[in-house]
Formats: sequence, C-alpha cells, structure tokens
Amino acid sequence: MKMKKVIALAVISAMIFTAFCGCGQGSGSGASSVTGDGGATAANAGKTNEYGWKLPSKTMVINYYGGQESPDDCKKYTTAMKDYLLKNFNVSLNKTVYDVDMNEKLNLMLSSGDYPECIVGMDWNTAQKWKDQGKALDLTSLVDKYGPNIKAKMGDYYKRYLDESGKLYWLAYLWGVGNCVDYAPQIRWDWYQEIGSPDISTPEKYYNALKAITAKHPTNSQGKKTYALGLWKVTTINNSFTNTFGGMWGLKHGWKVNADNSVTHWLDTNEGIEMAKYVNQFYRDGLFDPDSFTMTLDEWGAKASAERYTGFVGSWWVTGTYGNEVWKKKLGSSFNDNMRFVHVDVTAPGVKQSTFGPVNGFGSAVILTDKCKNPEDYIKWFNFENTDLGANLVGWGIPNDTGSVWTLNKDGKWAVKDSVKKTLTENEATFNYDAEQKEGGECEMAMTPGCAPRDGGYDIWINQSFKDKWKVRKDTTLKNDLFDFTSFLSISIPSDDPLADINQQVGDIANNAWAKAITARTSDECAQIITDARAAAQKAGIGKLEQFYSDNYKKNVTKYGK
Amino acid sequence: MASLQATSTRRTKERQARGKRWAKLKNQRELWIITVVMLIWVAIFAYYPMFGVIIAFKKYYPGQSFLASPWVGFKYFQQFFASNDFLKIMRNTLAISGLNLLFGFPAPIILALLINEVTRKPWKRFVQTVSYIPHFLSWVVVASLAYTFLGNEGLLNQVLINMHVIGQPINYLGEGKYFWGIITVADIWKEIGWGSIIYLSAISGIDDELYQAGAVDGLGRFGMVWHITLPGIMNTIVLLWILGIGDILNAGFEQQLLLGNELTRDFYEVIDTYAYRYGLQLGNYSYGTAVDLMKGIISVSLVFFTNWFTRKKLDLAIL
Repeated sequence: MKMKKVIALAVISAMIFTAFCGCGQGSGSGASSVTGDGGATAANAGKTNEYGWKLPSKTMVINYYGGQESPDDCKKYTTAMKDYLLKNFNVSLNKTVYDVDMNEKLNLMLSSGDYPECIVGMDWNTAQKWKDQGKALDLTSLVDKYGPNIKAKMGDYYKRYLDESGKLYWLAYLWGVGNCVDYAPQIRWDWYQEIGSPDISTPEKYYNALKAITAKHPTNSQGKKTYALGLWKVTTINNSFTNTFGGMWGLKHGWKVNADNSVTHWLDTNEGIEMAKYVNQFYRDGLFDPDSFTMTLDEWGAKASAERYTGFVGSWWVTGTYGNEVWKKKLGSSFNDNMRFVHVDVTAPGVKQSTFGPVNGFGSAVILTDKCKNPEDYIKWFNFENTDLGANLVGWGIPNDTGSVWTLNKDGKWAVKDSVKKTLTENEATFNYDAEQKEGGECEMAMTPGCAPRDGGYDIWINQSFKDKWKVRKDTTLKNDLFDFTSFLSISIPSDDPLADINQQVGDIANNAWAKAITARTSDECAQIITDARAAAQKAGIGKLEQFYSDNYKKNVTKYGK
Repeated sequence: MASLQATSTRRTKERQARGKRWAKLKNQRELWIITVVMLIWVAIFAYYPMFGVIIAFKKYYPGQSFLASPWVGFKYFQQFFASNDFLKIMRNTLAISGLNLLFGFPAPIILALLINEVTRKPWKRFVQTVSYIPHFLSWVVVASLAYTFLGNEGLLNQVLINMHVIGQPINYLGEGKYFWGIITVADIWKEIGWGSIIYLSAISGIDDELYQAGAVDGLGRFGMVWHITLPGIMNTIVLLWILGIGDILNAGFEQQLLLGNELTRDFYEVIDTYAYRYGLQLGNYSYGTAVDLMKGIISVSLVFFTNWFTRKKLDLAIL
C-alpha cells in the first residue's frame, strides 16, 4: 500500500514537472533573443561619440525580429556587436530569430498576438497585411522629426513608401539598386579556355561550348560522369532557375513585358516554350543531371565540389561556395585561379538585351508594431544607420578589432584595412567571412540601410566595395543586364484576395510543367507539356493574375518613372 | 404518507449509492490522482483549442479575433471541393493510405509473429531492437537515405545495371508511377518494428497451456500461429484496425514534402500538404482549417462506422 502511494506520487510529480517544462515563452522553435542591461556609464551620457551619435542618458533598447536564421549562428554573430553598441552607444540592440519560415512565423505571431516591437525583412504582402490590421505604426511624423538622414539618403525613393494618403507605415531593409547581377549563366572557366574560349553569346553557342567541354571532361577524377548543367529541388513558387533561363530570352523575372507595359507569365509565352526546349536538349543529350529535381542543394553542392558540372545557371555565391573555394582549400598551392565558374552573357537571337539582373529597389519591409513603446528611439537608430559611418558599422561590423575590416579613429576618420582590400581584390577565396560576421558584419544586425553604392564606390557589402578581377569581370560582362524592376517586383497580392490562391496554383502548374518539359523524351513532347500546362493555368485563372500584375505594373511605372 | 415513505426510501437509496461511489473513489484515489493531471492536460491542449475550428466557417485572418470575423458558412468547404486539384488530392490520399492499410497494417503483425517464433532469446532481442531503430529516424534522414538508394546514381540502379537487368538508370524518385510504392515501403520500413511491439505484447499474454494443448492435438508451428496466436491477438488487431480506418485520410505530410518533388507532384499532393501550402503558407487559416476539419469529420465517422460493423460481425468493438 505504501509502495503504491510512493509510486503514484512519483508518477504524478514526473507528469507535473514535464508538463511545466513544456511551457515556455516562445523558445520551442529555437529563438535567440538576448537582452542587455544598461551599458555606458552615466559619465558618458550626453556625450557624442566618434560616429556622431549622442549617447542617451538611459539605455536605448531596440528589440526586433530578424527573420529565419539559426539561433546559434545569430548568437555567434551578434554578441560582439551587441556588447560594442551597449558600451559605445548606450544602445541595447536585440535581434530575435527563429529557424522557421518567416511568413509562417509572422502569421502565427499575428494570430497569437505575441509579436515584437519591430520586424525587419518582411515581404510586402505580409507588411500590407499587418498595416491593414492596424498593427503597423504610422511613422510619418516620427521620420519627419527624428529621421532627416533617412529622407536625405532615400531621396526620391522615400515617396515610393508612402501610401495613397501620403502616410508612411514602413521603411525598408536593403532598399535601392545595387551594382551587381547575382544570377546568370556560368561556365567552368579553365575548361572553357582549354577548348579555345569560343563565342558563347547565344544559347546555341553556350550549349555547344558546354557540350564540347563535357566531351573533353566526360568524368571527374573519381570516374563519375560529368554534366553540363544540374539544378536542385525548388520548393517555392518563385523559381530562380526559370527566371534566370528566361533572362536569355529577355523575360524579366519570369515575365514578358510587352510594349504597352502589360505583362505575360512565361508559361503563356513562346519564349517559355523555347526556354524549355533549350534545356530539354541538354537533357536528351545526356548533358543534364537527371537528379536535378530530386536532390537538395547540399547534394548538388557535393557534386559541384566533385567537379561534375561544366556549367551552371544561377547565383555566383553558390558556385563560389561549392566550387572554387572548396578547390582552393583542397588543392592548396596547385590551385589554378581559373578553376572557377564565371558568369557569361547569353542572349537569344532576336532579343535586344538579356535580362539576368532585375532588381527590386524596394528592398524588404521594416515595420514598428503597435507594441512598440518608444518608436522615436527606433527612428533615431534608423536615422543613424543611414549615415556613412552607420552603414559601415551595421554593414561591415565593428571597427578596430581583430576580425574587423575597417578602422575608425576618435576624430571620426575611417578607412578600410589595406590587408582587407588586398585580400578581396587579389584572393577573395581566402577572405575570412566568418571573422567579419562575428564582428557583426555581413549586415547581421542591419535594419534599414540601403544597398546602392555610396560615394567612393563603397557598398553595404564589403566584398562589393572591393572586387577581385572575377567580380569586376562579372559586373562588366553583365552591366547591361542590371535594371531596376521595382515597378513589377514591388507588386504584392493581398492575402485575403482570391488571386493569392491563383498565384499559388499557377506557380505549382508552372514548376510542374518546367520539370516535366525538361525531362521530356522528345522536343515535341516538351512543347506539348508546356502547351498543356498553359491550358491548365488558364483554367486556374492565369489571365486574372496577368491582368492584376499588368494593371499594377502600369500604375507603378507611371508612379516611379520606370 | 405513502409518498413521504417513498421519498424517504429514495433518498436513503441515493445516500447509499453516493456512499458506495465515494468509497470506490477513495479506494482508487491513487489512480484518480494520476489520471486527473492527464485529464487536465487533455482538456487544455486537446479540447479547449477545438473551439478554434470555428474559423473554418468564418473569414478569419491572423490578427483578427475569432468571434469578430465574419461568418462565411461552408464557403471554404465548397472551395476545396470545387478546386481543380480536389480529385487528384483525394486520389493520392486514398491511394497512399489505402496502400498503407493493405500492406502496412499486416506487416507489423507478420513481423511480430515471426519474432515470436524465434527461440534464441539474445537473437530475438537483437532483431527486435534493430527493427525499432528506423522509427527514431526523422523523415529528413529517411529522404536522404532514399536518395542515396534510389537516385539515378543510387545503390539500386548500380546493382541493376551491374547485373545487366537494366541498361540505363531508372529515375525512381523522379517518376510519379513509383512514388506511391516508394512512400509505402519507406513508411513500412520505418514503422514496422515499432508497430510490432503492441502485437508482441498481446502475444505474450496468450496462455502457454493453449500451445501445449495445440501440440497435443498435433498442430505444427503454422497451425499454432493460425489457430492459437492469431485468434489470441484478434482483439488487438481489430482495435488497431478500427483506429487505422479512422486514419485513412491521414496519408502523411513530412514524407510527401521530403520525398516528393516537382516531377511527382501529381502523385504526392495529399490533403495535409495541400492544407499546409494553401492554408498555412498563404496565411489562409480558415481554408486550411476547413480542409482539415472535413478530414477529421470523415475520419471520426469512419471510426464509428467500423466500430459498429465489427461489433455486429465480430462482436468486437472499442466504443
């Protein structure tokens, strides 16, 4: 009997204990949120530091949700900056992240009513939803009073963020047009030179060159087959591969812009069929990795690192990370600097200009929510971010430290370290990005800076401020591909609009058709798949989607001037 | 007078009944103390949130109040039934869960019967333990293993090519016609060991004397299984069958998202993945809730129907 009571008590205690263990404050999905105590001493209060920042008498606390990131990484990369800001600015800057999709998390936050004071990096659909629900503060008078640098820096861009009544409910993270094209066709440069560097300015010539290289290098050093092209599984309706291939045919972000500024989805265009048939040719000739639609990015990366691809159509950082950076580490002194993927400009016949570089100058949204107790503090901080020194700090990290990329003296004079300039311009693969990020660089805690180049050619990204010969080559080759497509990319579909469902359905149909068309056995079958998908998309309502985007694009072109 | 006596008698009986109930409660107090904690947990985490299904009938968006959102009636249910993908989703859901029931349901029973026949205890324990391990692997790991095994350069293709069974690799993960088979096999591989535990436990409850009597009657090993073991665990089988039928619209979620891809979308999209993509991801919680509520109602109805059916035919039921 006594034993029975003891066991019962033990079981009850265990259950109650575990039940309470499960209760917590948002830590289940791995949040990282570090709050700070008061930093600078009372003696420093009111003084102006070398950045021109006047230290507040009371610690300024800024809490924000920064999107999807590993909380462990966030902690690693924000600790030094947090301490620095507390000590030198009397600002406690606290970034919270969760390792879950940002939009899903924001929806849950909105429904639970548990959300932070500031959110950075929202897409514009979601920002609109928060504004419509009255959760986003009106910032107009606050920016007028506390944010002169914001308005000065943004210039004409500022007006783009005002709503129909002239009010401002959001600012932007990484607004403006940068100076580099990120996505384009690429070719393995040393192998390309081996075959005599032929002209690869058209899709057919690009195909021929890749075919010749693959014939010359049919297997890698382990005897595994090489391919001209390989992709990985896409899980979003926005397919960067169709967008980039479409650039060869003048499609902009997967859309055709017609003479009257109406827009047509690639699935509804002849260019879309040409694009699919082109890639299908790679597949039928055994030059396209058949695992392209089943493998993840990591699996693709393993193959890329094993030198199994002679070309790629996509971003430069992926082929850098899995390509030349890996080979440099592996081969050491026998590494040949031409062993890398280089962006090339490929334009289909009859197309005036390839369009690999559409830019959304809108950036992503930053809002202050109705839970923000001291919105003027946030605006003051954003105002500081929009100075040169502020942009340096939040973009490049803290100065004068071991891993820092720049120096700042007490008089406010700053300079990028010579060693950093040399490394970035001569041997970027050896640049220690991890050290820079640990100092808060790579925009780890940036909230509202722009990404357009500043005076002197400086950029929010240190590796865009000093480019090695490969980046210079890329930006020179693709300079005409870069264009401001804000008028289109800033269009958002309200989430309670039936068009949101149509958008998802059309995206599903398009991605499904793309995959099937590329892996078709014949060119006619490929074209038929796209035609059938077009009919399915029309049934799903692609016409309404195109009408919506056309109307809004025309409106924005009038509003923004381009 | 008579009525007063009747009332008094009734009250005495009520008092006696209350006394008996209280005595029973006092006698079982430890069990009740343990149960009360779980009942509170179930009430808070399983029953209280059910109030939220109301949003299936309202135009609710995150940030609004459940009660303040406007009523839309059966709009989202109609939207789902009328959607272009409805038939495909239902086909995929029923096919995948049907295959799971057809092959996945008997598999742990067969494994349990086989393990039960193993006489060497260390070997029996080893086999049991090894069979449980896949249950603890996440679907992310299983998907990665599937790619390694079934990819174009995977083990299976290499073996078949080396044996000259095929000349070119088969894109198992990229062809829709293989998807249902792959996901069924993966599911069975992952859960067969864990699922066999309950059957092994039921088998261990069968009286040894029955086996002795069977041996005397001349039954061989197969006969013992057919005439003694299986009937002995029939209650457990029927119980799990009834619950399994209720899961017929639960074809999975994680495994579809991880093993599926654009080439197999026509075969992998099921109710749960559809509700996730069109409901949760688009912030259209009302639509997602309506789809899942429909699924839940059908599942519960199937459970009750199967329960009634087994009670009528087999005199076995859980409710």
